Amino acid sequence: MSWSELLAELFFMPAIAFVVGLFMVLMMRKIAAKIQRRVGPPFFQPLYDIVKLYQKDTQVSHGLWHDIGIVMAVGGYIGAEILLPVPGFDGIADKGGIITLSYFLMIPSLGMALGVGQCANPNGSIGISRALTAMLAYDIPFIIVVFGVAWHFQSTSLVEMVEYQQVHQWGIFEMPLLAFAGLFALQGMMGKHPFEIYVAPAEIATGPMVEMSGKYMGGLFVMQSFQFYTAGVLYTSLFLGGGENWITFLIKCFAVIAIPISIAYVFPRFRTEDVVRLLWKWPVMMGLIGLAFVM
Amino acid sequence: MLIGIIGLAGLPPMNGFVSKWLVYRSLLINGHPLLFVAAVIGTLGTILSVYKLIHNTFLGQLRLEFQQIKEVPLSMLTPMLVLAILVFITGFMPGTVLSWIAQIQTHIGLPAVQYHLGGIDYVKGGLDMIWVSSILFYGFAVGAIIFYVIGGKSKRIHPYDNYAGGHFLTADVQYHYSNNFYPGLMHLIGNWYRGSFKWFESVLVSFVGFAAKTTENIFRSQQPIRLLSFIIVLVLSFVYFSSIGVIAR
Repeated sequence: MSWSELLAELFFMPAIAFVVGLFMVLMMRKIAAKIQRRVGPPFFQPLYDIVKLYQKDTQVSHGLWHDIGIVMAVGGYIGAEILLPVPGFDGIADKGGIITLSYFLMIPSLGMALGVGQCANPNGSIGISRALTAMLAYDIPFIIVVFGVAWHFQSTSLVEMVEYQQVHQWGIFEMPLLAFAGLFALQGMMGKHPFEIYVAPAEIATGPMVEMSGKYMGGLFVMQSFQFYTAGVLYTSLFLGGGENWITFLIKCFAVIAIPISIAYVFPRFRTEDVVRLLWKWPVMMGLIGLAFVM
Repeated sequence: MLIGIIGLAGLPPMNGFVSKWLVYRSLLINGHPLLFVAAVIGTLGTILSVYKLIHNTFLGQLRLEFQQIKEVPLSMLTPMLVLAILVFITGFMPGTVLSWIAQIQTHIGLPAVQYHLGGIDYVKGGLDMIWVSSILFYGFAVGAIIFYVIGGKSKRIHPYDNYAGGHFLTADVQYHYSNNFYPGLMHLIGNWYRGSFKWFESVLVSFVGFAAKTTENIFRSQQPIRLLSFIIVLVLSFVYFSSIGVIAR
């Protein structure tokens, strides 16, 4: 790989991820609006939100960790994006593999926990404990899915998984139960209803984000668009055969993200212990049965 | 402390991650799903517990008696920094440590791990920590640019100066994450805990008391000086023989 390719990959992958992620956020809000019989936001609203938040006058930091937490949350996802295989940019994706990637996905949670932990706000504290518990809940089915997929493809490299699926058939047809369990875990990982209590986007003043003002919240909005993109691409690479070209690839990614969102806005939320109970029961059970079929 | 914690939890780019990766990878490829899940649960538990540690030490509500606290002196800071750098270097370039491991493996007759400076070569998906760490740091750098350069200047205020729904936070009322941490667990295992653990504790205490009394009685009933010299001879001979044993081995 030459320097120009490397630089192109390092620059374009986060940039593409950000733009696509913004479109995914727009899609989420449009779907939510349609379900709730509203018109929904205009086309550039996700971008307007970020610009608005970055231009706020009130930007309050509670200490160094408050800043570093946001940087970790955004940076972890940017790192994860570069390790994802997308059409045309497979060069670096081979260096890590799925184990590294699933660890990268834990870094933003840790960063958020550190950042919110620096503020002595009791609401933030509640949010952290819920978020870390939820991480424990959704990572178990996720890791079972990762195991099943890696065992099925006999590889930990995402690039090889995608190549295998493009030669044979998509993972979702060979491992339907694991794919379903993965969808469940995705819903928890994205923090959408009914598993959204740890994000609590509706409770601005009484939720974990209460101390996030101005660019702190803006950073988290940027993180959200990165998160959507990461989740979509990861699922597409594991189960939907990755991307042959950008058009089909992006259609698959948007379809993957549309499923949890469509489910999300017809549900109320679960309490944290119910989240753990649900995620440790059904997706784990399905994942284990799927694993038994695969092995 | 964060570096140590990241190393302990086995997150990239620190040293714990490389060994974890090796363990996970072999569990994956050799097909041990339950062990793999157990290992991941262990990792998650480590993250949760070390988060509590760092939160207790540095984050959350600052107590009144620690308001005037200062950074430690340089003589204490230097060894910590050296160790932290060591943790990072062995994570960044695991080849330095893996060469020793490969030597050990060849000595005891196992096939040596296929390592290079940045990580491990396998046919089906390897690991290159130099790349992985660089990508992560690149991600952090981009995150820092997004945060510090594009974003405006933020105002640093005291941790207590925050919005808590009309309440005012003070140092004497503890609200934060690790305060009163265990009631949830105690609610689940409370009865069992109070019953059996307390009982076991009392059994242990009475047993130790009984053993102490017995020893004391024996000691007093015999000639004290003879018993004392016997014990000294016993200890000395134990030390002597164990040192012989170590040399012979």
